[in-house]
Amino acid sequence: MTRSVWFLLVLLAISASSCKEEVDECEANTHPYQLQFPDYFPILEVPSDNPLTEEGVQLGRRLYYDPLLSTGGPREGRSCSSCHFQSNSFSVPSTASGSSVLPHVNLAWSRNFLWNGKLEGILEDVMLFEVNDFFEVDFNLLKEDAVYPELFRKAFGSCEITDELVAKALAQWFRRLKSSNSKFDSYLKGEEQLTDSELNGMTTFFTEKGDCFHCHGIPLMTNNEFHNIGLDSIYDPTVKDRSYISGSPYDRLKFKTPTLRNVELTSPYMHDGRFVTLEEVVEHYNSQVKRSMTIDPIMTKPGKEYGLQLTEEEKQNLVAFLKTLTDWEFVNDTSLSSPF
Amino acid sequence: MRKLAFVLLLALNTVLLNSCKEEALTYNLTITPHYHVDGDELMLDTIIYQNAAGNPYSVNKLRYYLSNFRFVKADNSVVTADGDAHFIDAREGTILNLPKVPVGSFKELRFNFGIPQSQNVYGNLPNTSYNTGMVWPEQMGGGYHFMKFEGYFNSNQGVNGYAIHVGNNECLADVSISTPFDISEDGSMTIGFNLNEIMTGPNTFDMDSSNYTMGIMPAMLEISANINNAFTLEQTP
Repeated sequence: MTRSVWFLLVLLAISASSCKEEVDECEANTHPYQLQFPDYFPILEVPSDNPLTEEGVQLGRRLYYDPLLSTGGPREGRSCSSCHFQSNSFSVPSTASGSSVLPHVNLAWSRNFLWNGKLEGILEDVMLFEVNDFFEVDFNLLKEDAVYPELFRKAFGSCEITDELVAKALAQWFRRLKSSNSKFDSYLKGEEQLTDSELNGMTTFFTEKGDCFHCHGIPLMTNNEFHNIGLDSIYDPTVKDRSYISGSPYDRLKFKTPTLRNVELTSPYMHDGRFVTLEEVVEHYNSQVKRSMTIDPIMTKPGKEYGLQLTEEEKQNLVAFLKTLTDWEFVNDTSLSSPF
Repeated sequence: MRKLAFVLLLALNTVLLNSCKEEALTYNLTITPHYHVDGDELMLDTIIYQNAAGNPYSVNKLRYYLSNFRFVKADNSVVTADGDAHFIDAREGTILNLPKVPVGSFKELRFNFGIPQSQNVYGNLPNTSYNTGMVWPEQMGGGYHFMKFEGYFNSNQGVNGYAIHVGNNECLADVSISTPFDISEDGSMTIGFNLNEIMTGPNTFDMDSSNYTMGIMPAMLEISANINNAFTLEQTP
């Protein structure tokens, strides 16, 4: 055999080997997840580098319920679900400090988070904070776990488990925590009628009589903004209100508007959990509003300087309407429950 | 036969000319609102301005809709460039982008402050977070707020808030700016918005008398009547 023939054979072998398909052990295997919500809900903006997938949502769900997230950190033994209960619309029924915590519901449409808006951005940004600063996740534990490496591979095509990917999975799960099937939604869709009491309460809610709609408008029942609703008249610098974040004196005594979706299940109410019942909340607006520099003008507008001045029946109707905002499917949906 | 050919050619020519006219409406125009208070640049969140009633005030929120942009030629013919309603948030520095505008010389710019009745129905505008934040409840007539103008003022009793909200079809304001201007391809335009004019000329709004307008139709109509004087044309390409 001549030298040139050998050369050709070697060349052929190299070419043949280069034709072998390289197997990527870290290839993703995802299926798109379609989040369903009524057409009157705001358009859902999802970052292009973290689309909703079945695998991503399920991974986020597992992480949400897994205390491994906190192992070795300052919140050892706890997961998100240790405090946020599905039966309470993923809010926290009571805290050690007596304060209240905003529920994990429909946060996909929010760009600021916590009562004073300390966290801003999209869910991926917030979850990065939760992963690195709140739980101080030990990623080695996730890497050494029997299940997680495979779940991350499937969801993100990565053999690595990073803070960014944990945050992305949790962000997908938080987008999945969508509540849009209350009795009020059925009414809006023409599928169910409200009682006379609920209808009267709705009229109070959506007119100047109650003026609830300015901050709690449809469909999210929150404007995701910050307001002083007259809970206190004196600014307490130890209370971390919106001004604690913005530095503006015009933001004193202001807190984020909570969603009223599932409000029946999210007691205690207000940033400091001072009210336990919806009746107490309504009475605040009715007769207990305290004036201060930054109070929202809606709270003291002409004719309402001393509160809403509703009758007992009107107050009961308002509470009846608030209870139509409860999405029982959401709080009983087993696909939102713990996977463990 | 010759006559017929002439007529056909004339018809063809007319069709071609008309199609050229349509093509002329395909250029982008960006419109930048320039906010000021009697010439002073707008600085949000600080009580440094004074309105015609003498109320020292701040601007903390200004959200509104402009719609139905029209361009008036020297021969008084009007070209509607864009019938859409555009949401604008002063804090975010929203810039309008009109995709179809005529190129040429004009003597007047017209638009509506608010949303035309045909579009002022809840769910008609895209369900963006911005639009859903402007919804006007069905129980009060439906549609959307045309404007939310809010802030604080030094009242007789100290610092107080004000909320000038305008909505309802009756409050749709016609704005016309009779300043000649030219528009070229992919141009830009700056329109001045003097916020003090919201509260004066012809109707003076005194925050000490009332710091709130929503649902108070006479007050909303007075604000709406003031709007026409609030806008000026500052800069064209």
